[in-house]
Amino acid sequence: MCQHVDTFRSLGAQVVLVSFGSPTLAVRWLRETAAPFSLWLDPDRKAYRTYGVDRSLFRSWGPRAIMTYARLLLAGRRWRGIQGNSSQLGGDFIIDETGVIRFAHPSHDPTDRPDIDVLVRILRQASSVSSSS
Amino acid sequence: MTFPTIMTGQPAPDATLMSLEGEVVHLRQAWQSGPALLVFLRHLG
Repeated sequence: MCQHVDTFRSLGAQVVLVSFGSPTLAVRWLRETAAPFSLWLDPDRKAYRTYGVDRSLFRSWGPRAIMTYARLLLAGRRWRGIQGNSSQLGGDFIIDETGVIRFAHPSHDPTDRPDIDVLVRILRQASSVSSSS
Repeated sequence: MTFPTIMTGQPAPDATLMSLEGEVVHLRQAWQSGPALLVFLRHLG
């Protein structure tokens, strides 16, 4: 996603990462990943619940997720340990400037994230709504 | 636990969060001047 930061900027899109981690962990994570995005904190996970982003220990640690983590580690990804509730899943949502949801994808499991090309295409469509309104 | 189903075409719910500087932020600020991509992360591992 970091490789597409110029595309996001050209579309006038803001990328906001939402985490339930502590401020200390979040600052460290941003520094280590160099993610060039805003990171907002939702410690009690109210926004997660509002957006229907699920929790499941079984789906978080299913065979597909474990295989994906193993592949990432073999590819050199650093393991930072588990920080916080490991059963919490993620999700991706696109909102246009009028406040309408254009894309909603609460993850079924940790490997279930939308393709970046799909996100860029929908952001492009949402951006055209913004510029014509 | 049953979570609400968020559908495309619906108004996006607002929520109150906190910036890394400790300031209160509202989710709606993300889309006030253009489209927003909200990425809900898993743990910060």
